[in-house]
Amino acid sequence: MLQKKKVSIGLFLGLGLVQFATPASAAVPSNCTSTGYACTSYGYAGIDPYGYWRYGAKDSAGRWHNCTSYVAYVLSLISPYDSRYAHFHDATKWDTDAAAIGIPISKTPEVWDVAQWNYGHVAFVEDVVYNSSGSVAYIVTTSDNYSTNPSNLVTTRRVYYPGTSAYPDNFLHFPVISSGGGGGGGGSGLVNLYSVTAPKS
Amino acid sequence: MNSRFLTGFLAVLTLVSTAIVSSSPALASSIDIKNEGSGYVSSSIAWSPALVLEAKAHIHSERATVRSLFSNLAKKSNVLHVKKDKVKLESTGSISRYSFFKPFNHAVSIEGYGDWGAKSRSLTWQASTDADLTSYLATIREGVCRLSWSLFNPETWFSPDCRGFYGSAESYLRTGLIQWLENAPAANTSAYFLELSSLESVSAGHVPYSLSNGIMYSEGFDPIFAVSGIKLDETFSSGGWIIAIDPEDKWHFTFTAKRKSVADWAATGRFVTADGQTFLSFGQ
Repeated sequence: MLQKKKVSIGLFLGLGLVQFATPASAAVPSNCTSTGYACTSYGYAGIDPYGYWRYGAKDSAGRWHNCTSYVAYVLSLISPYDSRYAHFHDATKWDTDAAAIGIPISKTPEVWDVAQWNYGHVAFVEDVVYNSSGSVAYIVTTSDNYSTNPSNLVTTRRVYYPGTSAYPDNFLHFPVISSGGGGGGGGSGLVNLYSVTAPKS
Repeated sequence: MNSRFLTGFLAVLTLVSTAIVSSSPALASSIDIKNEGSGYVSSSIAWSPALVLEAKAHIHSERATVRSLFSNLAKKSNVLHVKKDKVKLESTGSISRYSFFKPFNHAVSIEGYGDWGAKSRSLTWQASTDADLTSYLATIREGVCRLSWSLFNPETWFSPDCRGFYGSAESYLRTGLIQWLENAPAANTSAYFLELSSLESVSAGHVPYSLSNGIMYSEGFDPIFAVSGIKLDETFSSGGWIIAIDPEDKWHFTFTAKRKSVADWAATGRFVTADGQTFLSFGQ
C-alpha cells in the first residue's frame, strides 16, 4: 500500500519557495526505511548534477547514489547552482568544506539545512518542530545511504531529538532560492517540496 | 645531531597533534574508531598497463581541447600573455598539497595580442569547470608565447610557440585515486555511518544489547538493524569492520574499519561510463 503523509509544508511553486516550521502539536512522523528511493523526496533516483554519485554505489537499475549525491541533488533544486559545491569531499568533511566557502554552520537546525554527522553522513532537513517553549522538539531528515553492502540501496527518513547521541553534529545553512529565478538543474515537476511518501508496506 | 633530534621530536609532535585533531567531539563517546592505513598516494604505484593506456587516451582528448583554444584565439591574436591565477581551483582537498598537482591547480588568465601589439582578447581559462580533478591536468604555461609569426608584432619574432602543459598518465591516475579516496564513502567511515551511529546510541544511552553467533542486537540500533543486528566481524569487497567490546565496560566499543591499502584500491582502477560520462573509478 502506498501511503502518503504530509507532515510539513514547503512549497516550491515553479518560481518561488515558502517554508514553514511545524508546531509541536503535529504528529511525530514515523521513521522510514526503504531499499528503494521511497524515503527520499523531490523525484530523486540517484545521480546528482554536482557529480557526487560517481563516488557511490550502483542501485539495481545501475544508477549511482550515496548520501552526498542525494543532498547535492536537493541543493540543485533549492539553491542556485554553485560550482564550488562540486568541490566538497566525503560527508565527514562537508562541515569544513562548507565553512571554507563561507556557508554558515551552526548547531541550530533550520528547514532545508543540510544535517551533517562527523561519522560521515549528510541528510536533508525536511522539518524542524518546536515545542511550546520555542526550543527544537525534533527534526525530520531524509537521506540516501552508501550502505555497508554496496549492492544494497537504503534510503531513510528519520526523526532526531536534540540532546541524543544520534543528533546531527552540524547544520549547514546553504542559501535557498527565496523568490524568482530557477533552481538549477532538474527542477521540473517539483510542486510540493515536502510531501513525504512512506515506503510500500 | 641536534637537528635530527629536533626533526624527530617535531615528527612525533605532529603525529600526536594529528591524532588529537582527528578525534572529533562526536567520537569522544564510548566508541573508538580505528581507520587504519595511510591514504597517501605515492608516485611509485604500479598501475596496470591497460589503465595507463586509457589514461593516455583521456589526456590526448585534453590536448585537443587546448589545441582548439589556440586555433580559436589565433583568429585575432598572434601572441598570448599567459598568467596563472593566484586562487587555487581546489583548495580544501589533500590533493592541493601534492607537489605534482600544484602547477595544474590554477586557472590561467590569457591576453591575446595582434599586430602592432593591439590587445584582441582577454579571458580566464581552465580545462574544465567540472570537479573531476583529472581534467585539470591540462593547462597552458605561463609567459609570452606565439600563435603565429608576424612581421608587424615584434613579440612574435622570438617568443616560443604556444603549447599546452599536461600531466603524465601516471599523474592522471594518481589524481583520480587521491580524489576518490577523499570523496568515496567506501574509503571513509561514511560507509559505516548507520552502524557507527547505532553503536553510539547504544553506548551513550547504555541501551541493553545481546550477542548471538557473533551478531549484536539492540533496540537502540537504527531500525534498519532491528532484525539483522550488526555483525561483530564483517568483511565485504570494499572493506568491513571488527567491533570489539571492552571486557571492563560493556558499553565501550572499538570499531576497526578494515581499510584497503592504497595499492589495493589502485588495483581496482577502471574507466566507467555512466550517465553519459566516462570517468575513473575505483572499488566495487
